[in-house]
Amino acid sequence: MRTFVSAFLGIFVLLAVALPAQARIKLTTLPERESVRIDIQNGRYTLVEEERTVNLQAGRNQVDFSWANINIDKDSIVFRIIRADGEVNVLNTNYPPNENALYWTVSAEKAGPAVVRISYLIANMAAEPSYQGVVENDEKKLLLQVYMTVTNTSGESFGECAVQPGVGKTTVRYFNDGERKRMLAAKFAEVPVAKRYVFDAAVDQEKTRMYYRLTNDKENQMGGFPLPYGKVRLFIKEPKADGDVARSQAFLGEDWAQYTPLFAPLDLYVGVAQDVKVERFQMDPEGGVRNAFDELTAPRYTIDGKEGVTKPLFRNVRSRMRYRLQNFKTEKGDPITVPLTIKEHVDGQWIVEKVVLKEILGERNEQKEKEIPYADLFTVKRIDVNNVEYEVKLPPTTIDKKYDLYVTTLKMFVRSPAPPAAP
Amino acid sequence: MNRSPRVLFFAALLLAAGPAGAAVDVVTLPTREGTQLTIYNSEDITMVREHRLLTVKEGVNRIQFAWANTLIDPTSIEFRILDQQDKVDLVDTTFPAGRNDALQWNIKSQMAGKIAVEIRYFTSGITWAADYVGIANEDETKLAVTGYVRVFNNSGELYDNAQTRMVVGNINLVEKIAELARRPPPGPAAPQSNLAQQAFANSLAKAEGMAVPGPMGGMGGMGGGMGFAQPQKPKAVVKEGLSEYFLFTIEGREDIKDKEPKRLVAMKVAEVPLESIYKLSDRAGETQFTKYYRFKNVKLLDENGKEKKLSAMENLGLSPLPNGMVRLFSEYKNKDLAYVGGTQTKYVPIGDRVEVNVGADKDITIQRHLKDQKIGNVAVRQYKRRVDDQFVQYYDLVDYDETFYFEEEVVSGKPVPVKTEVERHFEADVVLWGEGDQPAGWNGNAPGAYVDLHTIAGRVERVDQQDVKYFLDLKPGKKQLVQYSVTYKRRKVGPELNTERKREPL
Repeated sequence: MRTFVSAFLGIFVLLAVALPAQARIKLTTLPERESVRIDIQNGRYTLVEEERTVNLQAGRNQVDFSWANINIDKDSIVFRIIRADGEVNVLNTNYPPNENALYWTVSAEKAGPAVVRISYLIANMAAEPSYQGVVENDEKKLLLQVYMTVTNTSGESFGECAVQPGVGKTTVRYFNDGERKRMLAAKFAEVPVAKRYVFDAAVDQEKTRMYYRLTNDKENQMGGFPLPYGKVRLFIKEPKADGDVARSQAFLGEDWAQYTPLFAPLDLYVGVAQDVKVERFQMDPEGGVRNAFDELTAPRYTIDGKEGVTKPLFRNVRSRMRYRLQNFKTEKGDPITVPLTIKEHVDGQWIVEKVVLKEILGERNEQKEKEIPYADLFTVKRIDVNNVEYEVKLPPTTIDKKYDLYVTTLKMFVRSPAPPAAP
Repeated sequence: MNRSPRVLFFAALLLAAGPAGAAVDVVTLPTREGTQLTIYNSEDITMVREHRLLTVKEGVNRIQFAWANTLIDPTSIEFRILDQQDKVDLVDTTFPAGRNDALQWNIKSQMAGKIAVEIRYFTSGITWAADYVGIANEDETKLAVTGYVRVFNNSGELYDNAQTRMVVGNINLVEKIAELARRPPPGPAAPQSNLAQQAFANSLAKAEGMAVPGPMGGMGGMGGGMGFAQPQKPKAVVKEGLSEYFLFTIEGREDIKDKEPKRLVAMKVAEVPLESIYKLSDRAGETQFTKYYRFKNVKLLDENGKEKKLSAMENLGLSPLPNGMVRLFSEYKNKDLAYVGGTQTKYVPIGDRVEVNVGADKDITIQRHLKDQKIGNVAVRQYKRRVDDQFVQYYDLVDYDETFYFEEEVVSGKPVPVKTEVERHFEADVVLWGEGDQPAGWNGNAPGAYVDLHTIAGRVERVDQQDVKYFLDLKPGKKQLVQYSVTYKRRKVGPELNTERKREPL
């Protein structure tokens, strides 16, 4: 049963009857829509294009277009002759008062059918993108499918039409008022996936998060268009089928995909990596509290030309963090090294002054620690002035073997605290 | 077969795929060949997979799926064609106007006959949780651990004869399934058509006698029937890793009834080497020791250090231990149990240590005495500031050192040697004083807490800026004294008395 309020849209051909606009008497034929295209790519406006065949008489014709229960922008209506026998010209467009209608005066060289295309903007149609990713069991590649869900609350019910919701183009047999349609808009197979383990104390002080990183370029089997903002649901293929006709999948998690231009990476937070543990401690700088900051000196020039040295209102502030790193991650029963990213948030002028990586062996009174080279395991990545990432290739650990990473950062030219206020 | 009075959904195949507004012409209810539930414990979400056999005709077929009075997320419903994929295509998915409890799939078929399809969706209301019972032997050196999984179904629906799986892990969910399920459809709500309701009622009636478990591989199979003549073993719970999670699959199939929690044994491990440790931490505000049971989530070893040959259900170290409630008992020789305590445990990865808070322990006492204190190195600095054409003397700031001498008396009343950890917090950045001379910075202008712990027998560990931990091994019935001092370098302390401002010309 059709539940929508029926909309009315038609073309009328008035055969060379010149009548006053106020009392229009119309002798009409109602040509069928031959094709309809709904274009929602603009985001704010929906463009409808429809083709119809009208029979024109030689000479002047009046083509009438009116509508009801649909919000058409009257000024947006474009009328074009696509095919006709002989020359056909649109002479003018007329807007009858107090009517959702207009008519075109058309001059035809010959009598006969003409294919016309009418384009106009309507309101109350929207498209919402969403994604589904199916990851291979080894989490190296992914099938990414882009879906568009189009909602039609325009007041108009369309028959067979092509819908272009911004990504992809789907022909549907009907699209009634009030309906939503979910369409597969694009599909990217074998997209390489990089797993990232990220610890960011500003986001979560206890948990390490696992992200998938995809890159929207041709090299990574995507790059067809900028990916719109939308929800991504991720599934993983399970390792064995056991005769299951459809290989079983498990839901991994979901995240909002940000708008991703071409060549840009897309990070998707999948879930918590509970096997990769990071504990973060604020420590004193090496050498104790006396090294917490460096006093700065600056030359001082007095008004009478004397030179001296003074302490400006700046100093360098040193801070040292300790990260206790543990990795219990296994793959097919074997411990594996994982790529861990530790995010820190800084500001102003700063450098990473010193890095120390220690291997901690044993426990309690038997615990021994040993400084180990870190060049192959640790890199500092400056993201911008406010963000730094420490990238660690974290080897497997056990209860009796773990790692402590010490990172000393020096924030330079920090304003000294103001002198104590008067009581 | 028992069927819940609130059937979740029906599927209607509209053989005569008429125009958009056409009524339901013919309703056939394809049988459900198999159901699989994948239940998550970190979020209220369950993934349901169903396999059904649809009869299609050549051309376009419209299939309606409805789920009134359930907590199914409409945006999650997926339709997959499992066979004849080269001849059958899903054209689109349509949500009817004004409804959020039904949809239609338009599929285009180049053949007539039966096809296998999968319907997959997320629902809310089914959760699972792990819990454990641990029974320690009398001298607390061995622990028998039984792990359970418990499934709660508050979805209002019976899932009968379903393969049941549980996911251990924290997934990221950006919108709650229950909220999505209750979200109204866009646009004005339309009353459900009588025909659609009738179709739903028809499907309900037909559903009463269906859902025959079929030969659909992993989702079909064993069936829930059990013989009565033979002794039965508890069902195994098969565990396998999947990305950052672990999947626990209950052997065979289960009826997951509404409002009827089901508890199954997930592991039963005997003779796990157990260690007790006693901790006291200022950070936790503790004044007495708390006892912890510790054991490792690693494969059990025999006396010769070789791995024991045990089944996966009877061993550790093969899967992580999900977070859950632990109840601990101690078993006497006459098999009487004593309740030791209960607590929540965190997730424990493979290879990591399980540490269970057993509760406060009064057999080990600690008394902290402030034996002495003294103040020295007092220095006063006068501060003045120029204001216009005068110096204004604000006040004197005082530097001084304040030392406290502590003695901690730790006594163990346990019959066996015990291990303790004491974590102390100091109200300033700590500088540890070793055995040597004064530490660097002693004469500096920086404030700090110079802690002299060098007489302690065990190892001392810096936890962070203001916390220090030491380890003590105690013998039964012995008293152990721990002596340490802390010197607080107080710097630029405001005056209490000399607050008078004086002015003098430049």
